[in-house]
Order: sequence, then structure tokens, then C-alpha cells
Amino acid sequence: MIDKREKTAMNIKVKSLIALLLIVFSTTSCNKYLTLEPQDGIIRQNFWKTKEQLAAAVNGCYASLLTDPLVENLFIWGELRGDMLAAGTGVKSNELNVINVNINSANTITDWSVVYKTINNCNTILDFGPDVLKSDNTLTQPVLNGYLGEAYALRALMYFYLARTFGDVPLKLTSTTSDADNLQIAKSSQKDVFNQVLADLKMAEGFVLKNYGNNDLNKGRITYYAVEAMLADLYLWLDQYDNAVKACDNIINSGQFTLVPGDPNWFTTVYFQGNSAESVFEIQFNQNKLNPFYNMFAVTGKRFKAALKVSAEMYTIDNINIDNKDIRGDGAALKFSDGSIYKYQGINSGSTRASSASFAHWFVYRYSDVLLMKAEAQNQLGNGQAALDAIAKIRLRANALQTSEMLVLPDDKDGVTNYILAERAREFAFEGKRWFDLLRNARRNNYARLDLLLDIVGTTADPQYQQAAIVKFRDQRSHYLPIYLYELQANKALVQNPFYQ
Amino acid sequence: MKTLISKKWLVLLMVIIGFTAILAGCKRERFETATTSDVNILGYLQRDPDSFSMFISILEKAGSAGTLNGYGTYTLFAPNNDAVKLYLKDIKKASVDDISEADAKNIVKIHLIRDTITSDQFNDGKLRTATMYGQSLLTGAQNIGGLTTLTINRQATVIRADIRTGNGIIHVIDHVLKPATLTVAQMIEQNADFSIFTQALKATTLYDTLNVLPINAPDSLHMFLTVLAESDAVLKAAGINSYAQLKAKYSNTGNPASVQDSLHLFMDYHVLPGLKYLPDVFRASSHTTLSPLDVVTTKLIGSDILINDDTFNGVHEVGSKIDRPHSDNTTSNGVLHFMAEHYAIKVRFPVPVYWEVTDQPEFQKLNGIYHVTNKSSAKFADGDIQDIRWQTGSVQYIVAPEARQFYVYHNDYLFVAALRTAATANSWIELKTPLLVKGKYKVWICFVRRGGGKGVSVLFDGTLLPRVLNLTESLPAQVLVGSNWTYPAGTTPASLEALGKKITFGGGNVPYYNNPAQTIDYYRDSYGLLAGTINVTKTDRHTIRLQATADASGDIQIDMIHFIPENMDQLYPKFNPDGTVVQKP
Repeated sequence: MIDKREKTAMNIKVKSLIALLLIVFSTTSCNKYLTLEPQDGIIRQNFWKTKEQLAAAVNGCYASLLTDPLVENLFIWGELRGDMLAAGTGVKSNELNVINVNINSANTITDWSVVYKTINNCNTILDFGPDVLKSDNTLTQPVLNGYLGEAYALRALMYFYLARTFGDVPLKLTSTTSDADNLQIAKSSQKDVFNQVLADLKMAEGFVLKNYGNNDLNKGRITYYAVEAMLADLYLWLDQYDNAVKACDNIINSGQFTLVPGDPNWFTTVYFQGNSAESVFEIQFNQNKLNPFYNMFAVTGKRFKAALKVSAEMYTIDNINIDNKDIRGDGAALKFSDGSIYKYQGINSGSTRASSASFAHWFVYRYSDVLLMKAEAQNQLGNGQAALDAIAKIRLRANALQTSEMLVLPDDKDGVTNYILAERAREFAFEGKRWFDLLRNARRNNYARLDLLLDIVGTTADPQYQQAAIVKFRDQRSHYLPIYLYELQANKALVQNPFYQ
Repeated sequence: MKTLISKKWLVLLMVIIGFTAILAGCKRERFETATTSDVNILGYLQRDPDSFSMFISILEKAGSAGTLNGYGTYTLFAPNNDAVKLYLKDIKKASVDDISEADAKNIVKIHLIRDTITSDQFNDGKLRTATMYGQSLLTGAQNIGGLTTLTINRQATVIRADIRTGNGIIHVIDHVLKPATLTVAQMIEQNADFSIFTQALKATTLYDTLNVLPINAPDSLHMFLTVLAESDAVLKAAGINSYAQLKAKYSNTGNPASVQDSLHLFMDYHVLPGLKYLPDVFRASSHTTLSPLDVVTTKLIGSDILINDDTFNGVHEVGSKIDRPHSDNTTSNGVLHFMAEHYAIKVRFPVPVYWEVTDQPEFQKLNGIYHVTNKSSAKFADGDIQDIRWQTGSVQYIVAPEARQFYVYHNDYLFVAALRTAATANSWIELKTPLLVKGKYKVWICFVRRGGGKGVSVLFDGTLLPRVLNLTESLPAQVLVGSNWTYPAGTTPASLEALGKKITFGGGNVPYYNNPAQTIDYYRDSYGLLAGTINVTKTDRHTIRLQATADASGDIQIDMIHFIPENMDQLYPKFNPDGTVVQKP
């Protein structure tokens, strides 16, 4: 028989054995499951503590703009459906389908995921940035506001691109930080998205700095002026022309911007070096992160070339003096000799970047854009003469040829619109603006200028798709891209644009 | 004690089992990795009986249901139940059961293609593969009230496109497709607007030719025929108000039934062999017709399709438009298009064609380079130029610099990097000629002597011409007589012609490049070589091919190719660098 003491001792032994086993098992096998903090990174709860961390997060937002294929998307969304791009030998079948207005939801150019990544970065700052104030006494409210303003503005810019490209898109305004987040979000109408963009820009307008004390920062980060340029652009889409003029004036009257003189250094200053006196906001590619354009425009099997009409009909040529050129045409936007797109490849009209130096910036807004946006608003307000004056100013700087001049009376609103569009095509060739320019003007006054879009396919689409393409463009829903197939599968709350069903 | 010990072991065992269970619980969860339960075409239809039960019944009746559930690559245009109901109403049947098995088979066949065709391959014409019925389906788009839909055969619109299933693609449509049952001849006859054309068809017996179903066709060339019909209104606009007037205008023998009669030929000229929808019509630049020696040329300008819009002998002849909105009518044995304007065979006599080979649309669009001194294009790769093809390497458009002229027309020439037999180099170049009228011509290759092209055979439409050309040889050197560089002693234009050579410039004041005060009318390195005589049997654009037969490195530079009727003067006119043309004095 065992006595009671022995029994208890045995019990203790069993219990301690159990405990020991418990510890051994729990610490070894369930390791991954029970350890909450990663060992090779920093978690959110430890991150949003100091103003340096906040600054790093905002930098991360800008860095995410360089992520492929974000800028490539911006280029393709803004140019491929317009009339200035032609397919090169390396073109992808998806891209040809877009040119032929044969788009379906399996087309990869409709993949917007990289844009939403940047939006999520902005949302994260907006959600957690204000907490830093509690833990870091050296962070002041105005400095915090500055950072928040940049996040608001970048988010607005991304949604602005999405709404112009896809029409209705899901509006996600909080960060995705846990598995509990609801990612099944339905679309918001284009109008609601525009209104959100407006609200964000209005927030940013009061927050962001006018000057970061360094030219590169002033062009590479969102300044007050960049916000005003976005506002002006947005107001044009919202048909609020008075506001558009005001936003433009806020930039023009600041005296911070001028047109770079159209001398032989113009191209090098504006496009090769970048961050010039006429730059308002540029996405800053650099030695460490090259832009996607070398493989698109410079290699032997180019994906895209300039359409034939760009040289012959847009910039034109002086047949009497062949050296008298529009400075924006041959040797700037493109090479007339082979129709290659040159804006992102050139050092000057003669020498070309190496593939390892393909880091020309992406030009989001330039001062000439501000002048021409104001002209567009003024024309809509009935002040055609002011618009023509602005065009004349741009043309003078660019040494535009007489053969590309249009004789328009100031009260001919449609005529002035055509002239502004033609001048914008010359000024912003291949800067991702052409399709948006045409669409914005076409849809105004209940699609009074649908002809602007119908004229595109006559020169771009393969003849065998041309008739169908024109008929498709008559349907307003076709002006916006479909939602990508995988997005539809992942997010059941999304409803496809009915045109593509 | 024993019981206690066993109890103790029991507890331990339980603990171990318990931990094993926990351990197992810590393993990564396994999820179902298959994301799709793909069905085949029939399975897809069966999953949605509200939409497709009636079409399934038709499939079953036709005995095709099994096929669509098996392995394969199909495209099915599936009419939904509403579509089938409309169809039943149309054919006055109460239910699907009343459709005969043969009819059901035909219905299925016209909706089924043995190919996978997604909607991004729909164009303005026929689909690339015909239906199993044998007729091709026509795709397009229509806009009603601001909404655009894709149309199939102009009979149905696509409700849902591109449903991918295990054995093919389904497009849901809102009307049942009906195969064309009328022949081309019948369709023209039934249209009251075409009474004159119909009468002419019958008088020329062409009506019978156009009334034959493919299955009874005498040969594969005549299985399908494409007709460009002219309505009474179109003929009236051309001053022809009745069949009698048409006959009076065109019939030369008075017997239109004779194949020699020119009214017969006129009608033949409106029939193209083959199944040619509008994209097929404008994508080829010319088409043979039933009229044995005549072709029609076609062009797309903007969105107008023009017939016989040609520049001929320097004169632009305006073409006749096709009535595009009403054309592309499928019939059981071909396609019927309607002309918006009258056209007829043009009676032409052979005229010389002095063809500057750089006269290509791709070169003309080189703004700032075309005809601009000292400029050259970038290198073109094969495929970049519509009417010039070559094996490999590059060609360029070059305008000679002022300081070094070659005495070529307009100062420009086609630069071909190589023409030699070495295995990796370019060994041929093929050019599409301008319109040549049937007749016999002498062919002259005019060029600048370079290092390449030591032996070149010339083939016209694949027929080898007798002479092998040497493009690397210089003529005897020019001599200065007074202030004019000219033919050396013993060399005259006539003596050169006897050797199959001619100087293509001169006859005027062509300045000598080294000294502009002097002139030149003979240069040893710019001349033309006779390749032989060709017999052009059809008025059309033809192909001429330069094929290397010897190996010599270096480029070749082609200026012009002359096609001169054999009984005409071969030496004049002269073509000068400044663009002037000097006729025979």
C-alpha cells in the first residue's frame, strides 16, 4: 500500500510532468501561432510613435508611386485610347485590343491593384498619423497637418485617375490593417468619387506647405500649388469653371512658376533634368528606380510609336525652312525620322539616354498645363479671347509653326475648344493626358462633342474593326474601362460596367 | 498499488494523447485548393434552365447534347428561352416538339462553331471560322438609344459574351439565328430596286451561275460568289434608265448570253469569286472577277470603300463607293453587296509606267525627310512597308546629300542593306507594282551602282525574266566636252540600248555635282538595266522580285523601275534629280 504522502508526492510529480510537457509543447510546436510579434519587422503598435516614422511613412507613399506598373498604367490609360499612339512591333495583344476598342474584363490593362496600394498607404497615414501627436511631443499640429495634407492629396490624385478611367470605382477611405476589414466594397458612382476627390483636395489645400525649402522637394512632393492644379483639373471635369479659374489664378499669381524659355536648352531643362521652373508636380524616377519607358519606346521591338498624324498633322513642318521647327515636335516629343517616342529618352534633340539612365520623371502637372486649363475654363465662361491669348503665349514659347495655327473667332466656343485640344496635344504629347482631354471635352454639356471621340478610331483602329469601334464609342459606358476579371472574382460586391457584360 | 499504477499510466497516456491532439491542431489548416467547378457547355446551360431549357430541348432533339458535353473546342451562340419563343412564334409552331429533327439539326449547326472565338475577335465582317452549317456568321455593333450592343448576323444581339466553359465559349443571344436560304440570284431578284440588274443577270445567263448552291457547284472556285449589285437608282444616276439602255450601252454583239459579249463581261465584272465580306473586300487591294482578264481594285479611304479608285498614267480616277450600311448580305451561296455608284470595265491600252520605287505611302509620310536633301529614314524592318517585302535585314529611304548626287529622280532612292546569297543575309526583295494594263512591257531596273547585287534575277509574278543583272558594274567613264560631262567615245545611247542599258537622266541642264557650272547627261554609276520583257495578262498590280544569284557584300540602291510597252521608245523621258521630266526632243 502507498500512504497518503506518497500519493500526494506522486500527484505532484504527475502534475509537474504535465506542466513541463505543456511548456515544452507550447513553446516548440505552436511557436508560430502564439508569437504575436514578428522578429524581422516592426509592427504597427510600435511604429506610429515619432515624427520621423511619420515622415518615413509619407515618403513611402511617394515611393509607392514608382512601383511598377503604376506610371505605366497612367501612361496607358491616358494615351492608348487616344489618337496619338500607334502600335509598335512589340505591342501586346491586350494593347491592340484597346486600340481596336475591343476591350473585355480579361484585359490586363484594367488591373488597378497597384493604384489601390498607394491609396492604402495614404489611408494608413490618415488613420494612424494623428496618434503620433500623443507620443511625440516634438511633433506640432501644423507639421502633422502638412503630412496628412500630402496623404489626402495623393489619395485624391489616385482616385481622380481611377474615376476618369473606370467611371464608378469602390471608394475605400480607411486603411486595410487587419483581417477583420471588410474588403467587399461596392462601387461608388463617378460623381461620388469626384466629390470625395474634391473633399480630399480641399483638406489638403489648407494643410500642405507652399515651400519645402528645396527645389527638388517642391517638385517631387505635393505643394499647395500641386493641390491647386489638381483642383483646377477636377473643376473642369465638374464643369465648375469659376472655381477652375480661381485655382489656376492661385498658381499663376504666386509668381513661383514661369515658362522655361524655348531656347535650345528647353528640352534638356524640362524633360531631361526635370523639376524645372515650369514644373508643378513630377513623379521622381531616379538612378535606383528607373521608369518603365525604355522598354516601351526605345528598344528595337517597341511597344508604342507615335501615330503618323502626330508629325504630319499636329506639329506640321515648315517646307521652306526645314530647320524652323516647333520645339516640342521633332527631337522632343518624338523623332520624325522613325516615329519613335522621344520625350522620355532624349538628353537633347541629338543624344539619347542609355537604358541605365532611363529615369525621366513623369510629369503630372506643368505650368503650361495650368495656363491651358485656365484657358479651357475661360472659354466655357464665354471669354474666348482670353483663351486664345493663352494659346498664343504657349505657341510663342514653343515656336509653333504657322501651319499648325488655327484661325478661330473668340466667340466660336467649339472652335476655341478644338484649338485648345490641338495645342494641348502638342504641349503634352505622351504625358498621359490626351484621352482624358478628349473625354472631358466630349462629355461636357451632355456629350455635345461626342464627335471628338468618334474621330479617334478613324485613324487608330484596324480597318476591319473600325465600324464596330465607332458604334461602341457611341455608347457612353464604353468610355470607361471594365473592372478586371480578378477583382470581380475577389470582390463579390463589385458589379461590372454593364457595357462589358 | 497495482490499480494506482495502472491509473497513473492511464493519466499519462491520456495526457500524451491530449497533447498529440493539440499538436495536430497546430498544423496548418488545409483548404480546398480547387477554385472552380468548371462545367462543359451543356452543363452550363443545364445549370440555368430558366434561360436555356428550350434550347436544350432543341439540342436533345438534334442529338447534339452529348457532343456539347464532351471534349472539344466550340463556340456556341446560345439563344435564351425568350429567343426560342420568338422563333417558335415566327415559324408558327406551338412548342419545340413540333420542330422536325432535321430542322433542329440545322438550328444547332448554325449556332455552333468548331473553334473558340471570344468577343474581342468580332470585327466588322465574318468570323474567322464558319459555322458547322457551312455559312459564316457576321458580327457587328449597333447603337440604339445610346446603348451599344454586339450583333450576330444582324439577327441577334449578344446579351452575355465570353462565358468560358470546359469545352468552349458561350455567347448568349436574344434571337435564334436563321441560315440564309436564298441564293445571291434570288436575293437580287426579290429586291424590286434591282429590276434592271436582275434582267441583265438573266439575259447574260449569269443568273443561273449565281443560283447554284455550294453543294452543286462545278468547282471549288465557284462554290461561293460575291456580287456587287447596282440598283436601278444607281444605274439611273449613270444615265441608264432601263435594261434596253443598259444593253444598248454595253452589248457589242447584241447577244448578251455570249461570253464574248461586252454586256456579259460587264456583268461578270460585278461578280467576285469567293466569299468576300467588306473587310475582305478592302483588305486586299485587288480582286479577280468572273470577267477573265479584268480585276477590280479596292481601297478604304476614311470609312468609304471605293472600287477602281486608281491613279493611272499620272491621272487620279475617282472610284465608285460601296453602299456600306446595306452591304454584307449573307446568302446561301455567297455575299451580296450594293454599290452606291456605277462602275464598269475600263478599256485601257498599255501605257508606260515609270515607277519611282520610293513612291510608297510609308515614305511619303516621313515628314521632314521625304524629298528633303541629305535626309534618310530610320531602318525599316520587313513588315513595316505594305508594298515592299524582303527576307531579312533592313531597307531605308534616302535622299542624297547636295554634295554627292547620284543623278536619280527626285534625288532619292531605296537603300537595301544587302542582296546576296550568303545564308544569313538578305537574298530577295519583292515590290508590288503600280497598276499595269494588260500588254507586253520591257522592264528596266534603274539604280545606283554599289557593291551589292552582283547577280540579280528578276521575277515578275513568279516568272523568271531572261537576264541576270549585275548591279556592281560601272559603265565607261564620262568625259568632259565643253562644259558638259557626256558619253565617252564609242558609247552612245543606241549602243547602250543594244546592250540592255540606258541612262535615265539628262536631256537638260543637270548640274555636275563637283562643279555646278558644268552639266552632265551621262554618269557611269547611275543607269538602268533591261531585265526582259513581261506579258501582263491582267490589268492589276503585280509583284516584281529581285532575287540574288551571286554573293557580293555591299548594299544596293534602287531608283526607279520602268515598265515601257515594247513597241514604244525605251530611252525617253529622262528623270532628273530636281524632279523634272524631260520628254524626247
